[in-house]
Amino acid sequence: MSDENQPPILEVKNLRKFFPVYKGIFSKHVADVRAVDNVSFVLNQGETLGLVGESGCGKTTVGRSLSRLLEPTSGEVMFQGKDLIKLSSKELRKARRDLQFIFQDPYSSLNPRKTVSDLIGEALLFHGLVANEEQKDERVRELLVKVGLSASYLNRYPHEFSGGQRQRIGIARAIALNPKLIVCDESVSALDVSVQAQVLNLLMDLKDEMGLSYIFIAHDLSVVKHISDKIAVMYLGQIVEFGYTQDIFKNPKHPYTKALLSALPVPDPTSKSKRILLQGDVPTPINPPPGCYFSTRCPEVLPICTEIPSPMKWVSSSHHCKCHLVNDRREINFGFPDDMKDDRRASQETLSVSDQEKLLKQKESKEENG
Amino acid sequence: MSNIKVLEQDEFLKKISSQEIEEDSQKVEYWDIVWAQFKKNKLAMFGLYSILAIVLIAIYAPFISLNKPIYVVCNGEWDFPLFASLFDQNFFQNGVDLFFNLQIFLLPLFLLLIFVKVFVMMDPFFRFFPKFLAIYFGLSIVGFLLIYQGGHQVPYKDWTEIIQKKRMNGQIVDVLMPFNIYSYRQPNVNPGMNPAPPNSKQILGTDTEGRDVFARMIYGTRISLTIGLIAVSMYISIGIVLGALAGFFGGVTDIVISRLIEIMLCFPTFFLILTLLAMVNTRSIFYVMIIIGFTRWPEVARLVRAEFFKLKSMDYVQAAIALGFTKGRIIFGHVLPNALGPVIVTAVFGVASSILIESSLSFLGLGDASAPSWGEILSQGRAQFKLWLILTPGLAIFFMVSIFNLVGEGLQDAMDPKQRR
Repeated sequence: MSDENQPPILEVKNLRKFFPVYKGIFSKHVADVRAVDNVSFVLNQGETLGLVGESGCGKTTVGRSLSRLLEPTSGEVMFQGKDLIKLSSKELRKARRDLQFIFQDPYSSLNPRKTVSDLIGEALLFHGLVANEEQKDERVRELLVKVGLSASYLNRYPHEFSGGQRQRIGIARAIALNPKLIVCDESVSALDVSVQAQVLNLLMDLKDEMGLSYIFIAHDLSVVKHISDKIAVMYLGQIVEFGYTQDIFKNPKHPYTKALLSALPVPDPTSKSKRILLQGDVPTPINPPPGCYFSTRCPEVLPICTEIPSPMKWVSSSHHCKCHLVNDRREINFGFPDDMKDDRRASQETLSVSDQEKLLKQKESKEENG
Repeated sequence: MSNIKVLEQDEFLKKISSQEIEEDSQKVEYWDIVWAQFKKNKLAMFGLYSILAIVLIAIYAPFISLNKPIYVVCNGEWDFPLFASLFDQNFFQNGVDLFFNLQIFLLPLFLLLIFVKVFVMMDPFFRFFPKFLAIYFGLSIVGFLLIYQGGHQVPYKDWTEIIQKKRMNGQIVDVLMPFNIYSYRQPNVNPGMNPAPPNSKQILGTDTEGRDVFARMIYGTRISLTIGLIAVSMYISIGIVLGALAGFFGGVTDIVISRLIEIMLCFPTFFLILTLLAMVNTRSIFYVMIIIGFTRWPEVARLVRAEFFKLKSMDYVQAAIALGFTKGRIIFGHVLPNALGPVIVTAVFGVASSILIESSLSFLGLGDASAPSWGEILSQGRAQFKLWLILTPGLAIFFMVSIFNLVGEGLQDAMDPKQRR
């Protein structure tokens, strides 16, 4: 599990990825699609971070911006003490060895013209981890066995495999370079449930064996619950709630998280849980609502929510939530630890005094009414 | 939750999945599928066999038509005048001929190696063939350059006369001549009557300078094939590189290259070629090839660009970037092989149209007068209005262009996954 004494393996600060929108014959820059808007989080060595949220909320964009598969607009990605955003392309190529990807679609993630041996082993040769073809084949055989495939598959082509087997090849490719962090981008959602379970268990075994850290992007909450140590819930390009898995599942604070969790099926026909049905659609990320991004659909909305964006608040030292309704217990119970002062997690932005009073009043009146 | 029950069955499922494919199944490659599909198309197969036949005719042209005997035996003394003159630059003055004469020896070696690979070592054909072909062409070009630079020259000997003299002296001479006993540049065989209509000696007659039309037709296949091969490989290479750059990098690179493509496409290609050729003083078949090569690349570039745009967003390209490969490796090692299919089809069609362009240029008098090009014969026929000078090259060009188009179309259908049954 996580080791708090070690420096975090990945520290993302204020990551933004805007896709510009051009219009007219002169390609005038008219707006931005705010796919990722000020995302910050910290991942410790050996931890798994589950990134959840509905389609189009920017989960994948976060994953891809990390290693600059998509060039982020701004922000900082400290990976093993280096800011990936500032590296030159040559340094970045080296750094990328430690940050690998497992993709969603096992059919498009393997080059149809390459044999398994090349798919997995080409990078080994390229980075000089093996000296020649024989060593490469030897290593690829080991990797194939490690991911639960037969070593005799060496000279096969991807189209000869089933989806689950292809995903295992994808995993073998990702672990070939002995990475420190793997971004699993919806890695099991294209597989059927039984194969999903196998692949998840494989990922967890590999994590223990190789000391990996994962960023696990998924929309399936039960999968995320199974594999993650921490969870970040995303909505419209922002992380709205962040904390340990058990905290989030037992004690969700953000109305959006509550709604998500209520949609999770419970394998018990007698239990009657109240489902929170969200109204309306996700607002467009080109023109997000002022105030809280979730205010347009929030069942517990206050007038202030539509005007002023909420800062990230501390439910506990490890559980943060971006919602006006949550009490920030940072000052009261925890204070400001010295080493956290320049940590962006302890978001510096707070509400102005007048806003705080307004919020308090609205909360009181709501309690009186309800 | 729902997953936990499934996880308990994990061990059981693992056992099943490991049994799924245990023994090595028959390996099927992309090109095997294409070939199986191609074989079903009878017209395309006819085209392919015709192309192979024409390649053989082009390579073994000296054995079909030459004014030198294959062997001469006189007083137990063996002579091989045909073989002796194959690399004689006094006799075969065109580089093209030297290149094809070299193939006389290289092709059997190549075929033997392929035979051994496929039937003795049992290697899958399509896996080694591209590499083999590249090595073969490399060797041919190196050999050709060596021979060309060697400049081997021997004074001309008229073997027909020599044999006649020996026979007059009462010597017994055993001779094997090629099928047609004329060379393509041998003038005035029947002085006084040029062009001569087809007769028993010269089955397709002679042209205005008394040269045998059959010989010129046979050697003309060499010119046509060379034009097709060199011009097409030139513009395919340019097109692939520019298209790949535009498609992969996008942005400013793409804008610049796309505008360049559009500018080039504005000019009617044939008139552009005509203009450029008129500016070149030397009439050489190589200028024709180079000019075709430099003017027809936009088509290919546009195709490759579109393919690259499509493939660039595939996850395996993203994976290659994430693995830290260099851009060159990703472009040429990962994306290009998947983009080549449609390019090969265009290349086959391109051979046909290049042949047509060369013939048109020769017909208009802008070709190489020293090369036995089909268009050149056609142009003479038009000037003199002799039927044998019009029909023979006309039909040959028609046939050549048709077979390449048939193969191109067959390939296009075979590669189309929707057509697969």
